[in-house]
Amino acid sequence: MRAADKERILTEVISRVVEHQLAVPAVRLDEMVADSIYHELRRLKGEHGDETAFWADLRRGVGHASERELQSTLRRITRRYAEEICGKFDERVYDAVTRAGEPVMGFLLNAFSPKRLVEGLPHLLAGGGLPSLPTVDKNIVVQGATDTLHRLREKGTILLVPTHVSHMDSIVVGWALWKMGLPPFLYGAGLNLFSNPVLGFFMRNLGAYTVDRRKTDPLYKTVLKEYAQATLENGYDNIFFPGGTRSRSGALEKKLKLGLMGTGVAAYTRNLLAGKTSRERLFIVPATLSFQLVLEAETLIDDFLQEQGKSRYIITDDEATKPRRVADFFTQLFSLDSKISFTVGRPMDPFGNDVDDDGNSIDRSGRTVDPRRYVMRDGEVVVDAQRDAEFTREVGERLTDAYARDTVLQATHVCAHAALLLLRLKNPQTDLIRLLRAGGRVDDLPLTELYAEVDRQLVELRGMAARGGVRLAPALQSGGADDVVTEALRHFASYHTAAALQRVGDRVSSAERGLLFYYSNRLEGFRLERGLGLRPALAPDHRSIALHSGRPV
Amino acid sequence: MTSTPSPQASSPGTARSRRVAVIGGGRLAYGALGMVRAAVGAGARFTVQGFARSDAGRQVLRDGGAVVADSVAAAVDGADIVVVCVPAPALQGLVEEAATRATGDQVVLHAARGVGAGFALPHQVLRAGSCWKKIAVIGGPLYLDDAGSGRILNAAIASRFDEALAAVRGLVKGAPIRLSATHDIVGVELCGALSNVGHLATGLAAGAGLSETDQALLHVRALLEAGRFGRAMGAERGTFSGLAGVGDLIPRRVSSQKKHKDIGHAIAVSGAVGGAGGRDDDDDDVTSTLEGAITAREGVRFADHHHVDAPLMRAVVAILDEGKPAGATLKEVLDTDLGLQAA
Repeated sequence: MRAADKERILTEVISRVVEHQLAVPAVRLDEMVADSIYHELRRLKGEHGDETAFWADLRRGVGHASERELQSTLRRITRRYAEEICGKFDERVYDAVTRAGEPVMGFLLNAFSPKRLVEGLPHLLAGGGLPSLPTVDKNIVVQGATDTLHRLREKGTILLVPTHVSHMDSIVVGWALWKMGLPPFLYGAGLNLFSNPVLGFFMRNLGAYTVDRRKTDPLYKTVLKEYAQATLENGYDNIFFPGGTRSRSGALEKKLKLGLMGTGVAAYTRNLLAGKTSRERLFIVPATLSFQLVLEAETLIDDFLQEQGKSRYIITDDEATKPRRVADFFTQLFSLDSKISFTVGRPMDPFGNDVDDDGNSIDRSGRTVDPRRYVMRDGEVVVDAQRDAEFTREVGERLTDAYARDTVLQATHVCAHAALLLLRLKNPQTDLIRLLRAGGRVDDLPLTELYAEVDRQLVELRGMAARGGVRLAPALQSGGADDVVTEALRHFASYHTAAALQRVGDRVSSAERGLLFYYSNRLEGFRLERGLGLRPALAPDHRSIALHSGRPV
Repeated sequence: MTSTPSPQASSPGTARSRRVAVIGGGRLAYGALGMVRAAVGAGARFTVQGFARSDAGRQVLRDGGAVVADSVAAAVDGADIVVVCVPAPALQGLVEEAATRATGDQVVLHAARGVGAGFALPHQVLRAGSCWKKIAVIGGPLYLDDAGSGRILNAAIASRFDEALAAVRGLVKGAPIRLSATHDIVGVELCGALSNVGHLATGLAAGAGLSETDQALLHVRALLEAGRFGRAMGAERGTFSGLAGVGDLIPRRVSSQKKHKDIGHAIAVSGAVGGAGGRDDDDDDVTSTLEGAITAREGVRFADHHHVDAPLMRAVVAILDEGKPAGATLKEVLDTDLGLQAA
């Protein structure tokens, strides 16, 4: 965020939040303040720093405070939260990054590994890039409605909403935006990502604002939403990950967290109420990220399987926190010439209507509609939180469709899906969880059967792709089943500690069935299991294993 | 023109007069106009324009105090609230005509009890063909004859938008109607659609000589199937035990339901679909435009696709389309486990 805007937006956010909180009926101000103090001191239990001292000091004063003092305390708390969240944008850092171009962007992608960066620094400073690091340009494919994204930026503010599988996502998205010639977007990044000093420096200065998911104080969430909304109103393009957290199962997000996304309608309404006539529009742009391998796959699927329905929202000890693993991941991935796809989907307005290249809202029958009318009542623009939540829910439904349509399926996904379906079919008496944890009576497959099933799936998927229902990586578009299996096995053998699928003679087996499940899940929802007479493996919201997943239809 | 207050001559006040469009000229339109008149009598300010295809329908509109427009689009143009009083099979055509003048701030109220192609619920048909989003459905017993005899009507209204629910309440303010409101538009629409399947099935059962108890059980099965579809489509479970679900089963004399029962009865007695009375001039198959029959046919396809258990709908389709005997086919359904655990 530009320095000139920062203080103004902060003031605006604090003023709005305090005004909103004071207007909440039936909640006493002293209780509100005490609630914040309670949540924060509980979070900080056992810690003895400035932060703890701040909250302890507030607690001492709150018991006998006057109404005016309580209001002042509420304002202090709100300011503290807002300042912590507030990102900044340093034009010097941005200029340096864009001038240096490709080497620095590669540097960022590898910034999880300080050791490797130090090793490569002299070469980088000499202008030669990091010799031991890959050139990401060859490995990240940016595709889809990129031209439309450019055009819409001229006409309004962009809310980019990508799928979320890995901590690498925000870096890849940042790189893709840069590659498209767009400035950095603001985005909320988990506080844990800032712990890496190199990455944290760039993130702070290139638009990331902090989201501390350990904070349970409702006031914090209000400040966060208000901040996001204020930045949108002020024309700052934003990135939200509506999945809320990385997909634990590996499947595409079906159930989205819509809280932050709801700021889109609210920001648009406020722009209209403020009489803004230039760039008052707001466009929601879905995007998908697709990797052959996912850095944190092992931790994520472990979490999913161990805590069915109670996944840890914050994982602080996964592969992304281990520099060696990150370095290995990229080295292996890029040495296999593996492609990461970033696909920009068709934009929509905050009411779920499609948007054409000129920024016009289009209804489902193809007619141009006036989006302002959705927030009007009796001819006037009105604020209505329930209405906005409903529009946002509809946008969420359309986003999940867009994710399925625009996700790029890779060889690892198809091969894992085919193998797991065959294993389920060969172990009809074993439910899915048992099959994944303990294996079944039949634990390996003839390669020929795998080829046949991959072939069947490719036929179905190519049909879907021809109808615009999904995107396929190049290897899946034209390659034979044997090519697809070979590519998948090469990837599975390269990075993970145990292979999701491996070849032993003329058979294949899984050394880590959880991983097989993880990569297979990317195809969940495409209903490929119907051809084999099986039920879906995951529940419709993709957040848990389906109740009858083990049973044939 | 009636002697009750005309919507055109609404009482003076400071609030802007709201414009209502009534599309259709049947009993529902008659009922809707009566409610608007009652609201005007209670001090609300409404002007009404309407459209109906038939002369009789246009007369209903005129008698109700509406200005008759020459097209659906003209009636919808500039309206704050659009009251759609046509059956489900007519929705697609209506929305295509209305879409050119539809706007996103309009509240649309419908009472259709059926589905469109692909088991699209009425609000989905309206949304797919236009920019309308603030849609409400009125369902439940809605026994219009009660209003005619001065009794209080009972109905469920559903919309995802509070704004639409408030608009409907404003529209019937002063009318003798008790509304039960919910956000679960999917559940209320499913209850309406499946209740027509249930009434078609009970008509078939009655014609085939099955007992009253068997007929009652078929209603229960229809509601259970509605619940299963509801689960697949994201409806709230409670809706099916509320006014739109169970509440709709008890007073069984709503006109559309009677029609379904009569047609079912005629089919079972004659043993052929074409012998059901031939209400449709151009087509011997009266069920081709019957909401309950369409719902059953689309429901079977939906059930196949989404693995939903739908024995009643399958039985109705087998009787209507495959010529299976009504009595034996429905008895097979009745003999199977109710599946209450899975409902």
